[in-house]
Amino acid sequence: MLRGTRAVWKREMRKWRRNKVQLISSLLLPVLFLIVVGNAYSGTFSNIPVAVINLDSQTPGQVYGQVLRNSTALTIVATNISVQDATMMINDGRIFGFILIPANFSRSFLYPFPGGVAPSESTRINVTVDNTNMMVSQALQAIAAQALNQTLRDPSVASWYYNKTNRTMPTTGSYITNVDMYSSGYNFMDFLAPGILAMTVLFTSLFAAGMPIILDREIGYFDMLLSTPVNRTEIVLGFTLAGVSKVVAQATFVLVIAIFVGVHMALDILTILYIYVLVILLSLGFVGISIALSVKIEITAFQFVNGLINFPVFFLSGAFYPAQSLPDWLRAVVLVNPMTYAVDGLRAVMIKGTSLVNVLPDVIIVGVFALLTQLLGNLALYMSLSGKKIRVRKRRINNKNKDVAKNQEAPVTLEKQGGSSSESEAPHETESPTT
Amino acid sequence: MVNEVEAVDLVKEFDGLVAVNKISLTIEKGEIFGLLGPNGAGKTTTIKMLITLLKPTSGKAMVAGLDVVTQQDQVRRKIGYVPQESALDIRLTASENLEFFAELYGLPKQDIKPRIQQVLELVELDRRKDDLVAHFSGGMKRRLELARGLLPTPEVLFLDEPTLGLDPQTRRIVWEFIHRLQKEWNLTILATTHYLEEAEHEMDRVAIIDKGRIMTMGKPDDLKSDFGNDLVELTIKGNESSLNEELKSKLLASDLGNTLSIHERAVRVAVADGKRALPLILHKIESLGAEIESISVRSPSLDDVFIKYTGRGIREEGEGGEDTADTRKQVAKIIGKMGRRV
Repeated sequence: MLRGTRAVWKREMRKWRRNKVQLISSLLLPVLFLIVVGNAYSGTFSNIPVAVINLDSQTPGQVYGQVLRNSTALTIVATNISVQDATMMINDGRIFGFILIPANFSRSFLYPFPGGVAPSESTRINVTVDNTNMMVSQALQAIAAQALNQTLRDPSVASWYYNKTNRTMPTTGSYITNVDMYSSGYNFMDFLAPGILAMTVLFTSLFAAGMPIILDREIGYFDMLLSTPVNRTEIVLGFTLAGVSKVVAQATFVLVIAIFVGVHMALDILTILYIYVLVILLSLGFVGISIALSVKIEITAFQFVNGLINFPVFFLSGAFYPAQSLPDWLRAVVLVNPMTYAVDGLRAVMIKGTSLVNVLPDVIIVGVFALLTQLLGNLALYMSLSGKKIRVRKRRINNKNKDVAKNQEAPVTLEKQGGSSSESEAPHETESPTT
Repeated sequence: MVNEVEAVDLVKEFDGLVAVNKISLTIEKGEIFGLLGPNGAGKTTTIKMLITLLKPTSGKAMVAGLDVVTQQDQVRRKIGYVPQESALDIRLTASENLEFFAELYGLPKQDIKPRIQQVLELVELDRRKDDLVAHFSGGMKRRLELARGLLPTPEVLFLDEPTLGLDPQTRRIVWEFIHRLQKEWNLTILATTHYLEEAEHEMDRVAIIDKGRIMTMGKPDDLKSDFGNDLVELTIKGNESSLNEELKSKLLASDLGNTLSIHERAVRVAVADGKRALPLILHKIESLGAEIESISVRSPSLDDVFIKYTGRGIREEGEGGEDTADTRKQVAKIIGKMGRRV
């Protein structure tokens, strides 16, 4: 039973194992991606060069300056310089921004008590940033806001307030508190890991399933396969299973590395089972597409078409950044992208450890996708293996002829065309009233 | 005698382009039969129909007594095939390459190892069986493919250009193996080639095929003796590269025999006895007003037979001329079509 399938599978796996360069680089790519991108976009900054201009001599202003100095995110390269100089420094690229503490910053707290100044534009902390570098300038604004939050909670500020007004500082405590839903310590890498896993499945499925078929086709190996008495369906199945096997091996490698580099993951048997269910279904889906492509396309075109599929499918799936950051029309693409559901399911299972019931919709959608593309891929390969494609091409030629005949209004020619193949009967009927 | 291969009026069209045009042939058991023709003549297409890879547009063919259209699976169990281009996995060892096909041919598991050993011994590769094919020479690869063709214990072995791209010495060795296999296994072999000397020395019978048609068929010696025993070849003096039309038509109209052929300034006449015919031929040609530059008498070769039936030498293909340009176009078109099929 299925000896042909096993033979094809064994051959594919042997070839895959022996091609060390390809094997190692394909294993390393997702791992590199996880480690490099995971750390680069983790949202923590350090040593951003800035200038601080402190015009406020009172306690809150001094505390605020101290908080900024203590921040590991910043490196203060200049203090107490003029605004013009600071602007110049931004232009020169020596700093990413400067933080100005105005002279009446502290006194605005005391309002409406004696010595207070009404809060206005000129009493607020001013953060001027180099907004050509979006990520750094956003981070800078967040750091400045966070420093303010910290300053207001500082006991020395509270006692300064009490000394000045004989009252407790009213605003203390009314600031935002973050509540982490899941145990603390999650970072971007944890968010990214399921996406990278799905990316591995996507890239490997598209490449590793179709490529051997194209190569075999181009060197005439397929003729050899087909001159043997093995069933064509078994050959098709062998290629599909080999493709999925390569993906599973690679996904396992990525998972192990992810655990190794400290990605948070629930590690019970059920979670792992869910992960593999999603990985295999997603893989079947893209293997189907890859095989369907490999039947028609040449090797050079295959690589470009793969890129054309890889890119939007990966970036519009929420694997890398959330769909919420996209405009509506692109969000629609995200919604019809099967990868979105795989990433969503994997993320839920891997990080949150959700039960299968919660990810069942994801599993079903990815499963349906797998079923459809498998039908497509297997049908395409089977058709071409049994030489049925020639008929499709003939039909197209017949249609062309028919159009010519239509223009010439020659029903006699039409009759001949119609008689020659069964496919052209329907248009033939619509034409008959002209006779 | 039993006919192992029998084709009747085989036709293959690719979208209206006729690649094989009513080919009929019979090959007896134990014969080495050669299809001789230039590239694009329809040799590979003919083989592909016989091994069930292509469905004939019309006509009928039997291999090992089985119909290639209605009994595809049974035919595939009776044949071995060595394709024109090397189709081996270079990252697998020799025995792994064979193992894969042994499984596809459905050999019983316990037979696979001994069979691989047996066929590798036949082609003297048994000591290299665990080496990667990447390290094999062209000749070794070809021998390995021959061994692969023998895996199913075939009745008929199809060899598509078995010596293509090999140097003359290696070609000789490959043919020695083919002959040995043929004797030891009593195989029927259908081989294509465009090397005339191979067809002449290695085949029991040949069919000369051109533009999809069989022009003539028979034992190489018989084909040559149809020509007469000797071939007189004369070069006519002249400044032009070829003879003028007037002289050409005069020569063709003369009673020097219907074997007379003219190519550029060379005139060939086949005769029963060269020595006796020479004075007469010289006299005839000089009486037509032509001067002879050189003259030779030799035995006819298969090349002469080929030229007689196709109007050109087999090696001239690609050197220009309307026919060859046509042929090349046809080759390109057919190869394109066949590539797209799979």
